[in-house]
Amino acid sequence: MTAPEVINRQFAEQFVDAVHDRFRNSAFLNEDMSWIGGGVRDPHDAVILYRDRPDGPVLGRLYELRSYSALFGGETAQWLANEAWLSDITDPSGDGEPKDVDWAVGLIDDPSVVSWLD
Amino acid sequence: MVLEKKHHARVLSGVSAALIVMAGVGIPAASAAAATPGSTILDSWEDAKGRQVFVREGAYNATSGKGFGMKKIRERHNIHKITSLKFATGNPNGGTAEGLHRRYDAYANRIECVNGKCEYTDSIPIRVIMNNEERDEYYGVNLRDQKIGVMTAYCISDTKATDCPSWVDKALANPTDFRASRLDASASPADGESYTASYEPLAGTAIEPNVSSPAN
Repeated sequence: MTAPEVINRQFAEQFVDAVHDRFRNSAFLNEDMSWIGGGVRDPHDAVILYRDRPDGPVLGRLYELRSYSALFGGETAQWLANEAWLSDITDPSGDGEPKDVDWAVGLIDDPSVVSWLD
Repeated sequence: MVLEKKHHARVLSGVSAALIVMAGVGIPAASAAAATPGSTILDSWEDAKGRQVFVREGAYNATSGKGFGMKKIRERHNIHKITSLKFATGNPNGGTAEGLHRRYDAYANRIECVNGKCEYTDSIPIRVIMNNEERDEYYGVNLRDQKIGVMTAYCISDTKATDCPSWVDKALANPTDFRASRLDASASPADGESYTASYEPLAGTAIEPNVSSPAN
Protein backbone atom coordinates (compact mmCIF):
# COMPACT_ATOMS: atom_id res chain seq x y z
CA MET A 1 0.00 0.00 0.00
CA THR A 2 1.22 3.47 -0.80
CA ALA A 3 0.41 6.75 0.95
CA PRO A 4 -3.31 7.37 1.42
CA GLU A 5 -4.82 8.85 -1.71
CA VAL A 6 -7.24 11.75 -1.84
CA ILE A 7 -10.27 10.41 -3.63
CA ASN A 8 -11.68 13.23 -5.70
CA ARG A 9 -12.77 13.85 -9.28
CA GLN A 10 -9.20 13.68 -10.55
CA PHE A 11 -8.73 10.31 -8.82
CA ALA A 12 -11.94 9.02 -10.42
CA GLU A 13 -10.77 10.20 -13.85
CA GLN A 14 -7.48 8.37 -13.35
CA PHE A 15 -9.41 5.25 -12.37
CA VAL A 16 -11.55 5.37 -15.51
CA ASP A 17 -8.48 5.93 -17.71
CA ALA A 18 -6.67 3.03 -16.04
CA VAL A 19 -9.62 0.67 -16.52
CA HIS A 20 -9.79 1.71 -20.18
CA ASP A 21 -6.08 0.96 -20.45
CA ARG A 22 -6.71 -2.58 -19.17
CA PHE A 23 -9.21 -3.14 -22.00
CA ARG A 24 -6.66 -1.92 -24.55
CA ASN A 25 -3.45 -3.38 -23.22
CA SER A 26 -4.02 -6.37 -20.99
CA ALA A 27 -3.40 -9.56 -22.90
CA PHE A 28 -4.17 -11.62 -19.85
CA LEU A 29 -7.95 -11.97 -19.60
CA ASN A 30 -9.37 -9.87 -22.36
CA GLU A 31 -10.91 -12.48 -24.65
CA ASP A 32 -14.07 -10.95 -26.12
CA MET A 33 -13.96 -7.96 -23.77
CA SER A 34 -14.82 -4.60 -25.35
CA TRP A 35 -14.89 -1.12 -23.92
CA ILE A 36 -18.02 0.96 -24.46
CA GLY A 37 -17.35 4.00 -22.33
CA GLY A 38 -16.56 5.40 -18.95
CA GLY A 39 -17.01 8.56 -16.98
CA VAL A 40 -17.03 10.24 -13.59
CA ARG A 41 -20.09 10.97 -11.53
CA ASP A 42 -19.67 13.86 -9.17
CA PRO A 43 -18.01 14.03 -6.87
CA HIS A 44 -15.81 10.94 -7.07
CA ASP A 45 -17.62 7.86 -8.40
CA ALA A 46 -16.78 6.09 -11.65
CA VAL A 47 -19.02 4.46 -14.26
CA ILE A 48 -17.65 1.75 -16.54
CA LEU A 49 -19.60 0.42 -19.55
CA TYR A 50 -18.45 -2.63 -21.53
CA ARG A 51 -19.35 -5.91 -23.18
CA ASP A 52 -17.93 -9.22 -21.97
CA ARG A 53 -18.98 -11.21 -25.07
CA PRO A 54 -19.45 -10.18 -28.70
CA ASP A 55 -23.25 -10.15 -28.80
CA GLY A 56 -23.81 -9.68 -25.10
CA PRO A 57 -25.60 -6.81 -23.39
CA VAL A 58 -23.93 -3.53 -22.55
CA LEU A 59 -22.92 -4.03 -18.95
CA GLY A 60 -22.46 -1.25 -16.46
CA ARG A 61 -20.69 -0.93 -13.16
CA LEU A 62 -20.74 1.97 -10.75
CA TYR A 63 -17.68 2.24 -8.53
CA GLU A 64 -18.12 4.25 -5.36
CA LEU A 65 -14.41 4.78 -5.08
CA ARG A 66 -14.20 5.77 -1.43
CA SER A 67 -15.88 2.60 -0.21
CA TYR A 68 -14.14 0.52 -2.87
CA SER A 69 -10.71 1.82 -1.86
CA ALA A 70 -11.52 1.24 1.81
CA LEU A 71 -11.78 -2.50 1.13
CA PHE A 72 -8.04 -2.45 0.52
CA GLY A 73 -6.96 0.02 3.17
CA GLY A 74 -6.58 2.76 0.56
CA GLU A 75 -4.92 2.42 -2.83
CA THR A 76 -3.94 4.25 -5.99
CA ALA A 77 -6.40 4.69 -8.87
CA GLN A 78 -4.23 2.47 -11.06
CA TRP A 79 -4.13 -0.36 -8.51
CA LEU A 80 -7.89 -0.19 -7.98
CA ALA A 81 -8.45 -0.25 -11.75
CA ASN A 82 -6.36 -3.38 -12.12
CA GLU A 83 -8.24 -5.00 -9.24
CA ALA A 84 -11.57 -4.09 -10.83
CA TRP A 85 -10.35 -5.58 -14.11
CA LEU A 86 -9.24 -8.85 -12.51
CA SER A 87 -11.93 -9.40 -9.89
CA ASP A 88 -15.03 -7.75 -11.34
CA ILE A 89 -14.91 -6.98 -15.05
CA THR A 90 -13.32 -10.19 -16.35
CA ASP A 91 -14.94 -12.33 -13.66
CA PRO A 92 -18.17 -13.76 -15.15
CA SER A 93 -21.12 -11.74 -13.88
CA GLY A 94 -24.12 -12.77 -15.95
CA ASP A 95 -26.50 -10.40 -17.70
CA GLY A 96 -27.07 -7.78 -15.02
CA GLU A 97 -30.38 -5.96 -14.84
CA PRO A 98 -31.85 -2.65 -15.94
CA LYS A 99 -32.02 0.11 -13.35
CA ASP A 100 -33.87 3.38 -13.31
CA VAL A 101 -30.71 5.45 -13.02
CA ASP A 102 -29.01 8.15 -15.07
CA TRP A 103 -25.48 6.87 -14.53
CA ALA A 104 -24.84 6.16 -18.23
CA VAL A 105 -26.22 9.46 -19.58
CA GLY A 106 -23.63 11.02 -21.85
CA LEU A 107 -21.64 7.81 -22.12
CA ILE A 108 -23.81 5.93 -24.60
CA ASP A 109 -26.50 6.91 -27.13
CA ASP A 110 -29.27 4.98 -25.36
CA PRO A 111 -28.56 4.68 -21.63
CA SER A 112 -31.65 2.52 -21.15
CA VAL A 113 -29.93 -0.47 -22.80
CA VAL A 114 -27.37 -0.77 -20.02
CA SER A 115 -27.65 -3.81 -17.74
CA TRP A 116 -26.18 -2.99 -14.36
CA LEU A 117 -24.13 -5.43 -12.36
CA ASP A 118 -23.94 -5.97 -8.61
CA MET B 1 -1.40 -14.33 33.94
CA VAL B 2 -2.80 -12.72 30.85
CA LEU B 3 0.65 -11.51 29.91
CA GLU B 4 2.02 -15.02 30.35
CA LYS B 5 -0.60 -16.40 28.00
CA LYS B 6 0.19 -13.80 25.38
CA HIS B 7 3.90 -14.56 25.67
CA HIS B 8 3.20 -18.28 25.37
CA ALA B 9 1.12 -17.67 22.27
CA ARG B 10 3.92 -15.62 20.71
CA VAL B 11 6.41 -18.40 21.36
CA LEU B 12 4.10 -20.95 19.77
CA SER B 13 3.64 -18.70 16.78
CA GLY B 14 7.37 -18.37 16.42
CA VAL B 15 7.86 -22.12 16.62
CA SER B 16 5.14 -22.70 14.05
CA ALA B 17 6.69 -20.19 11.68
CA ALA B 18 10.12 -21.75 12.12
CA LEU B 19 8.76 -25.22 11.43
CA ILE B 20 7.20 -24.00 8.21
CA VAL B 21 10.48 -22.44 7.09
CA MET B 22 12.41 -25.59 8.01
CA ALA B 23 9.98 -27.76 6.11
CA GLY B 24 10.53 -25.58 3.06
CA VAL B 25 6.85 -25.51 2.31
CA GLY B 26 6.83 -21.76 1.87
CA ILE B 27 3.36 -21.22 3.25
CA PRO B 28 3.08 -17.67 4.59
CA ALA B 29 3.92 -17.80 8.30
CA ALA B 30 0.88 -15.72 9.20
CA SER B 31 -1.29 -18.69 8.36
CA ALA B 32 0.26 -20.70 11.14
CA ALA B 33 0.06 -17.88 13.64
CA ALA B 34 -3.21 -16.47 14.88
CA ALA B 35 -5.13 -16.18 11.64
CA THR B 36 -7.42 -13.25 11.06
CA PRO B 37 -10.89 -14.12 9.77
CA GLY B 38 -10.71 -14.99 6.10
CA SER B 39 -6.93 -15.20 5.95
CA THR B 40 -6.72 -18.88 6.85
CA ILE B 41 -4.97 -20.93 4.18
CA LEU B 42 -7.20 -23.91 3.45
CA ASP B 43 -4.72 -25.80 1.28
CA SER B 44 -1.38 -25.34 -0.45
CA TRP B 45 0.14 -27.24 -3.35
CA GLU B 46 2.39 -26.84 -6.39
CA ASP B 47 1.51 -26.26 -10.02
CA ALA B 48 2.96 -28.40 -12.81
CA LYS B 49 6.13 -26.30 -12.84
CA GLY B 50 6.69 -26.45 -9.10
CA ARG B 51 5.29 -22.99 -8.30
CA GLN B 52 3.47 -22.63 -5.02
CA VAL B 53 -0.31 -22.26 -5.18
CA PHE B 54 -2.61 -21.86 -2.21
CA VAL B 55 -6.12 -20.77 -1.42
CA ARG B 56 -7.38 -18.83 1.58
CA GLU B 57 -10.81 -18.93 3.11
CA GLY B 58 -11.24 -15.38 1.79
CA ALA B 59 -14.30 -13.14 1.94
CA TYR B 60 -17.41 -12.55 -0.13
CA ASN B 61 -20.20 -10.01 -0.09
CA ALA B 62 -23.16 -11.33 -2.07
CA THR B 63 -24.68 -7.88 -2.41
CA SER B 64 -21.65 -6.24 -3.98
CA GLY B 65 -20.38 -9.44 -5.61
CA LYS B 66 -16.92 -8.61 -4.33
CA GLY B 67 -14.43 -10.82 -2.53
CA PHE B 68 -11.75 -13.45 -3.03
CA GLY B 69 -10.67 -16.95 -2.06
CA MET B 70 -12.84 -20.00 -1.47
CA LYS B 71 -15.76 -17.96 -0.15
CA LYS B 72 -16.12 -16.16 -3.46
CA ILE B 73 -15.34 -19.29 -5.47
CA ARG B 74 -18.00 -21.30 -3.62
CA GLU B 75 -20.72 -18.70 -3.18
CA ARG B 76 -20.46 -16.81 -6.45
CA HIS B 77 -19.10 -19.40 -8.83
CA ASN B 78 -20.43 -22.68 -7.42
CA ILE B 79 -17.05 -24.44 -7.34
CA HIS B 80 -16.86 -26.17 -3.98
CA LYS B 81 -13.91 -28.52 -4.13
CA ILE B 82 -10.31 -27.47 -3.74
CA THR B 83 -9.44 -30.53 -5.83
CA SER B 84 -11.11 -28.69 -8.72
CA LEU B 85 -8.60 -25.85 -8.32
CA LYS B 86 -5.77 -28.38 -8.08
CA PHE B 87 -6.71 -29.98 -11.36
CA ALA B 88 -6.73 -26.65 -13.21
CA THR B 89 -3.43 -25.51 -11.70
CA GLY B 90 -1.96 -28.87 -12.67
CA ASN B 91 -2.13 -27.89 -16.34
CA PRO B 92 1.19 -29.11 -17.79
CA ASN B 93 1.69 -25.74 -19.54
CA GLY B 94 2.23 -24.13 -16.14
CA GLY B 95 -0.32 -21.40 -16.75
CA THR B 96 0.09 -17.90 -18.18
CA ALA B 97 1.41 -14.96 -16.18
CA GLU B 98 0.91 -11.20 -16.28
CA GLY B 99 2.76 -9.37 -13.56
CA LEU B 100 2.13 -11.11 -10.24
CA HIS B 101 -0.95 -12.93 -11.53
CA ARG B 102 -1.02 -16.35 -13.12
CA ARG B 103 -3.93 -17.86 -14.99
CA TYR B 104 -4.59 -21.59 -15.25
CA ASP B 105 -7.14 -23.15 -17.62
CA ALA B 106 -8.82 -26.53 -17.79
CA TYR B 107 -12.08 -28.03 -19.06
CA ALA B 108 -14.98 -29.83 -17.45
CA ASN B 109 -16.56 -32.20 -19.97
CA ARG B 110 -19.95 -33.90 -20.00
CA ILE B 111 -20.45 -37.26 -21.70
CA GLU B 112 -23.87 -38.50 -22.74
CA CYS B 113 -24.52 -42.12 -23.62
CA VAL B 114 -27.69 -43.01 -25.54
CA ASN B 115 -28.42 -46.51 -26.83
CA GLY B 116 -24.86 -47.55 -26.16
CA LYS B 117 -23.33 -44.63 -28.08
CA CYS B 118 -21.41 -42.04 -26.12
CA GLU B 119 -20.22 -38.56 -27.01
CA TYR B 120 -18.82 -35.49 -25.33
CA THR B 121 -21.69 -33.02 -25.36
CA ASP B 122 -20.26 -30.12 -23.40
CA SER B 123 -16.84 -28.71 -22.52
CA ILE B 124 -16.84 -25.79 -20.13
CA PRO B 125 -13.62 -23.81 -19.68
CA ILE B 126 -12.54 -23.45 -16.05
CA ARG B 127 -10.15 -20.73 -14.99
CA VAL B 128 -8.16 -20.23 -11.79
CA ILE B 129 -6.34 -16.98 -11.04
CA MET B 130 -3.43 -17.09 -8.59
CA ASN B 131 -2.33 -13.72 -7.20
CA ASN B 132 1.20 -13.52 -5.83
CA GLU B 133 0.91 -9.93 -4.67
CA GLU B 134 1.66 -9.33 -0.99
CA ARG B 135 -1.05 -7.30 0.68
CA ASP B 136 -1.74 -5.96 4.13
CA GLU B 137 -5.48 -5.72 3.54
CA TYR B 138 -7.59 -7.30 0.82
CA TYR B 139 -11.40 -7.05 0.75
CA GLY B 140 -11.28 -6.20 4.42
CA VAL B 141 -9.19 -9.25 5.36
CA ASN B 142 -5.90 -8.61 7.13
CA LEU B 143 -3.24 -10.59 5.28
CA ARG B 144 -0.27 -9.11 7.17
CA ASP B 145 1.75 -8.39 4.03
CA GLN B 146 1.50 -11.98 2.82
CA LYS B 147 0.57 -13.22 -0.63
CA ILE B 148 -3.10 -13.25 -1.56
CA GLY B 149 -3.23 -16.74 -3.11
CA VAL B 150 -5.99 -17.91 -5.43
CA MET B 151 -8.16 -14.83 -5.84
CA THR B 152 -10.91 -16.39 -7.96
CA ALA B 153 -11.89 -19.41 -10.03
CA TYR B 154 -14.83 -19.69 -12.39
CA CYS B 155 -16.43 -21.25 -15.44
CA ILE B 156 -16.56 -19.39 -18.74
CA SER B 157 -19.94 -20.15 -20.27
CA ASP B 158 -21.39 -18.56 -23.40
CA THR B 159 -23.67 -16.44 -21.21
CA LYS B 160 -20.88 -15.53 -18.77
CA ALA B 161 -23.07 -16.85 -15.98
CA THR B 162 -21.65 -16.35 -12.49
CA ASP B 163 -22.21 -19.93 -11.36
CA CYS B 164 -20.75 -23.13 -12.75
CA PRO B 165 -23.06 -26.07 -13.53
CA SER B 166 -23.48 -28.39 -10.58
CA TRP B 167 -21.53 -31.18 -12.31
CA VAL B 168 -18.28 -29.24 -12.68
CA ASP B 169 -16.74 -30.36 -9.37
CA LYS B 170 -17.58 -33.95 -10.27
CA ALA B 171 -15.90 -33.57 -13.66
CA LEU B 172 -12.76 -31.96 -12.28
CA ALA B 173 -12.38 -34.81 -9.80
CA ASN B 174 -12.23 -37.24 -12.72
CA PRO B 175 -9.33 -36.50 -15.09
CA THR B 176 -9.68 -37.96 -18.55
CA ASP B 177 -7.83 -41.19 -19.07
CA PHE B 178 -8.02 -41.43 -22.83
CA ARG B 179 -7.01 -45.08 -22.91
CA ALA B 180 -9.49 -46.08 -20.25
CA SER B 181 -12.23 -43.85 -21.70
CA ARG B 182 -12.27 -45.84 -24.92
CA LEU B 183 -15.24 -48.03 -24.96
CA ASP B 184 -14.94 -51.74 -25.14
CA ALA B 185 -16.77 -52.69 -28.33
CA SER B 186 -18.02 -55.81 -26.68
CA ALA B 187 -19.69 -53.88 -23.90
CA SER B 188 -22.65 -51.52 -24.06
CA PRO B 189 -22.21 -48.52 -21.80
CA ALA B 190 -25.20 -47.65 -19.69
CA ASP B 191 -27.27 -44.74 -20.91
CA GLY B 192 -26.87 -41.53 -18.97
CA GLU B 193 -24.39 -38.78 -18.19
CA SER B 194 -20.85 -38.90 -16.90
CA TYR B 195 -18.20 -36.24 -16.46
CA THR B 196 -14.48 -35.87 -16.95
CA ALA B 197 -11.76 -33.23 -16.79
CA SER B 198 -9.12 -32.34 -19.36
CA TYR B 199 -6.76 -29.59 -20.44
CA GLU B 200 -8.25 -29.40 -23.94
CA PRO B 201 -11.94 -29.11 -24.86
CA LEU B 202 -13.40 -32.51 -25.72
CA ALA B 203 -16.89 -31.55 -26.91
CA GLY B 204 -17.34 -32.64 -30.48
CA THR B 205 -14.66 -35.31 -30.30
CA ALA B 206 -15.73 -38.89 -30.66
CA ILE B 207 -15.35 -41.50 -27.98
CA GLU B 208 -13.84 -44.32 -29.97
CA PRO B 209 -14.76 -47.90 -29.30
CA ASN B 210 -11.79 -49.87 -28.10
CA VAL B 211 -11.90 -52.39 -30.93
CA SER B 212 -8.45 -53.81 -30.40
CA SER B 213 -8.82 -54.56 -26.70
CA PRO B 214 -5.32 -55.97 -26.36
CA ALA B 215 -4.69 -58.10 -23.34
CA ASN B 216 -2.39 -56.04 -21.11
